[in-house]
Order: sequence, then structure tokens, then C-alpha cells
Amino acid sequence: MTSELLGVAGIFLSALALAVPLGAYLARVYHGERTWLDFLAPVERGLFRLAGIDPRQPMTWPQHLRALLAINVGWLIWAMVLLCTQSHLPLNPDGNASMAPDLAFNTAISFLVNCNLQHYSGESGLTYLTQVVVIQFLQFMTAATGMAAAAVTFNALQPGRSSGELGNFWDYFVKSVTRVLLPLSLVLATVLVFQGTPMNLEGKASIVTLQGDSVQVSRGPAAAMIGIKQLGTNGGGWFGVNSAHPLENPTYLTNALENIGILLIPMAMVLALGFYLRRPRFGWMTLGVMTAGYLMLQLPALWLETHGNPALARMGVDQSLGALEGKEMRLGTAASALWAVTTTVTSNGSVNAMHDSLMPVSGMAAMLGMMTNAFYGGVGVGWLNFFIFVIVAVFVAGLMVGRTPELLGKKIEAGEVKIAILIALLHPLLILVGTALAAHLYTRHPAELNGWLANPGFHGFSEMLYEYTSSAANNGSGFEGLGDNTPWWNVSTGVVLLLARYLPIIGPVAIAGRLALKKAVPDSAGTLRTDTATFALMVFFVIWIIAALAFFPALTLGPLAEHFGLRAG
Amino acid sequence: MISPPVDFALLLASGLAGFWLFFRSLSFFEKL
Repeated sequence: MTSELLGVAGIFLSALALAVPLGAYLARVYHGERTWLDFLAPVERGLFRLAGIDPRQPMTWPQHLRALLAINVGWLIWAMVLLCTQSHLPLNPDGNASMAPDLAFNTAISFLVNCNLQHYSGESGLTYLTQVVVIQFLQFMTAATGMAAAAVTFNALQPGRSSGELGNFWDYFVKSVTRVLLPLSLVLATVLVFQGTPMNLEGKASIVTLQGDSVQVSRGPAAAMIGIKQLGTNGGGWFGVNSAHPLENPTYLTNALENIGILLIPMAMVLALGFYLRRPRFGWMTLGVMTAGYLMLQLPALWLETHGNPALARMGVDQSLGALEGKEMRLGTAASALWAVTTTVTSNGSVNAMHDSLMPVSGMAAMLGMMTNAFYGGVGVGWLNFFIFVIVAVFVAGLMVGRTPELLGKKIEAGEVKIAILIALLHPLLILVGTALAAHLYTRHPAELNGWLANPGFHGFSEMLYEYTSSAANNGSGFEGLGDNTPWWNVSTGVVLLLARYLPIIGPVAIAGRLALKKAVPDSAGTLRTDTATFALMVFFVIWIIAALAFFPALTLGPLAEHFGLRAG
Repeated sequence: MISPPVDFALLLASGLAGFWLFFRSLSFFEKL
């Protein structure tokens, strides 16, 4: 077990160490400074010329968001049409069927919003064409969308600026793909190919197992997708069981690299903010708060998963290797617990173990990662969520000391606080209303809806709560005991996904854009410093009070009740 | 669910309606 724990510590520290130079690099990319990938500039210029875009044309914050939304509308239509007609299109060696409209609606939106909630299994639900031109394509595009939106806020928050011209959305967007996501994905995908992940266009292979059974093994161009799936905090798997599949995550090395891939860009983005603003302490303060929140969720999960299931221990089952139900023996309980919390705090959603089998409080830690949605968070959008809590913290601190709240030399006024509160409360609203409606429907129609829950009772409630939490956090992981490929789940989570993606992007960009227009106020003795440990503590508690306590009643009905039931025997 | 083409049209329309709402929200956030 010691070597397992050393392994997970090594994975986390490696991600942290790599995030520092990547953060500095990202700041240079978004500043338009010289980098070692400048040889790609002609490709970018070609793309802009093809699209008739002038990347030097500055945009205001509403222009940025109109561009962002317009291209997302196009992708929604593209994805739904292809998913509903895929059986008639090429690159379908296994003869998979087209999706039903409700499943296509859910899948298209899920990948459009960087969630990657999957109510289908990749082996039978998609063709190679849709895996590549819908799923993988959107995994790049949506990650770049989040990064570009974050870059707009970086630009807007520059100290001393008082103009609404915030760079060009297409410039940020294209550079996020060409300078960051593509090169990093290429490296990770190449390692995966060498470790045994398929990268071909062959259909299913027939093999005979050691015990003499004939089985069909799905293949395809999987490695290329898995790289961006992790780095873009997308999470949608090529295979149904995601990175618990031996071809999607073949070795301990790939497990470590995929896990580092999940953490890398979200960590680097907040450091990039500090470097970009020439206020690295602000970036470190943000990363410090995020890391403290992450560890508060990660450490209990590691403890619980490595110490086994008490109910099984009472039955005399050896628990020395930890709670192994739903986990891969080759990866172990510690690496699975690390992944479970990492993937949920970062809005990634890929899994290397079945979250439905986590110990109840570990499952709660995973849910809290998504409920707070600001401890690292998704690429770009993690910072945007955190920014909302910074605004609230500055406002509360201003009230406490009786001064006009200021952030980075700009006054925070009523409009900004209203937007921040609306966005902060939207998240619990979507999750709790969705779960309440589903629980009401299930209790009113238990016979008709008995396929929904594998485990009625406390755990069944957790399954429903997890599904809406995952949708609202644009995470995509699931308690897979939930029978979720039904019109109710496809449509209701689709609606939650849409609302929970765009409004939390629009709100922070609007706040930053409004701040950019304001006159800068020089620092004085009364200025609240936002790069200190005191302010970090303030933000930390604001996140827990707003984001986590809103869910406490729901968590007592689900994972906490299950935990105490399990302990009581 | 009604029939696949009608379902498709209704669901796509509801997705587009969502985007219409987001476009409209920009002026709301501007004025707030």
C-alpha cells in the first residue's frame, strides 16, 4: 500500500511541477509573445484567411460572447444531424445504428458543452466517423472555447486598463488549439499507442480467451481521442467503461500520464493568469485555494478506499488491498481514489473505476468536487467559476471592513455582484430542482420507472443526485447504476447541461468586461490585497459556504445516510 | 417521444431556443 500511496503522490506532484512552466507558456501565448511554436503561425494565418477573419480586430466582451455562441450553434446542428444519420455514413465497420433523437440531443449537447456525459457505449453507440468528426472534434473545440473565454478575462483584468477592447476571440480560440491542445494531445496519444491503445480503422477483432470463450474486442482510432479527452477535461471515453478499459488505459504508466493530463491545463491556467497580469502571487493564491479544496476531498477518499469496505470485512472478506469492488486490480485502490476525485474536481469525468462502487463518503467527495466546481475546474472554465467566488469574497470583505470593494484596482459595484450571485446560485438550483423532480417522478411511478435505479433507497437517491451534479458541473462521470438512456434522463440532463455551460461563461466574462471599462483606482493603504493568505482563506470559505452547504441536505439523504447505515451494519 | 423526425425537429428547436436565450442574456448582463 505504501508504494501505491507514493505512486499517487508522485502523480499529483508531477502535474503540479509541469503546470508551472506550462502556465508561463500559456501567458506568453495569450499575450501574443514569441514562443517555440511560432512556426505554426502560417497555418493559423491560413485558417483565418479561409474564414475571412482578421485576428487583430479587437472585440468587446459582448462581441466575444456572440462569436462564442454563434459557433456553438453551428456545432450543435452538425452533431445532431451526424449522430442521427451515422448508420448511413462511411467508417462504420461494425454496422452500428444511428442514434435515436433524444439520445442524439443528449450526446450532441453533452459534447458541445465539454461535459461528455455518455448515455451510450462507444463500442455500439457510435461509428468511427462520428467518434472522430463529432466527438473528438468537439473535445478540441470545447476545450479551446473555455480557454479562449478565460483569456478574455485575463485581458480584461490587466491592471491599469480602462478600455473595452479585449483582444480577438478567434485568435485566442485558434491558438488554444494549435499552440496548446494539439501538441500536448499528440504527445500523450503517441505514448498511448506505444503502450497498446488501438489506433486503426479495423472493426471488432475476434479472440479466444484463456478459458476458451470467444469474444469480440472493439478497436478503432482510439489513442488520438484519449489524449484530448484528458487534456481538454472532456472525459468521454472511446470504450463504454472509459479508462477502466485495458485498451483505453493499458498500464500504470498510461494511468499516471492520463491522470497528469487531467490536472495539467486546469492548474496551468490559473498560474497563467498570474503570469499574464504580471501578478504571479495572485495566480499562486488561486492555485493554493484550489489545492487546499482538492486535498480536503482527496485525502478522505484515499483513506476510505484503501481501508476497505466494513460490511465486507464483517463477512470475513480480506480488505487488505482496500475496497476493490468496481476497481481494476492492475491499478489498485489508491490510484482509483486519486482519479475519482481528480476527474470530478476538474470537470473531466473520465473514470478508471466505477464510481457507483465508491465508498459512500468517497462518492460524496466526488460529488462535492462537482458541486463546488472551482477546485481546478475545467480548462478555462475552472478559473471562470473561481472568479465568481472571488467577486463574492471581495464584496463580503468590503462589507466587513466598510470600504468599497475593489479587485485588481477596479471597483466592484452592484451590477457585478448581482451577476456573480446569479451565477453562483444557478448551479445548486439546476442540481437540486432536477434531482427533486426525478425523485418525485420515481416515487410516484415506481413500477413504470423501476429500470432507473439499480439500488433504491439512499444509494438510489445518490445515483440521481450524482447525475444532475455531473450534468450541471459539465463533468460527465456517472454512478452507472442509473438506467439513464431514457427520454426523461436524456432530455432533462440535456437542458441542465446547456444552462450550466453558457451562463457560467457569460457571467464571468461580462463581469470582467464591465471591470475593464472602469477607471483604475491606484492602490492605497485601504486597498484590500487579493494575493494574501487572508484573502485566500476568505475565498476558500466563501466557496464552501455558498457551494457546498447548499447541498448539505441533499447529501444527508444520499451518501451520508448510506455511510452511517454501512457503519452501523 | 412522438416519431423520430418530429422528435429530432422538436429537440433541435429546443436546443436552438436555448441559444436564443443566451444571446438575449447578453444585453441583460450589460444592463444589470
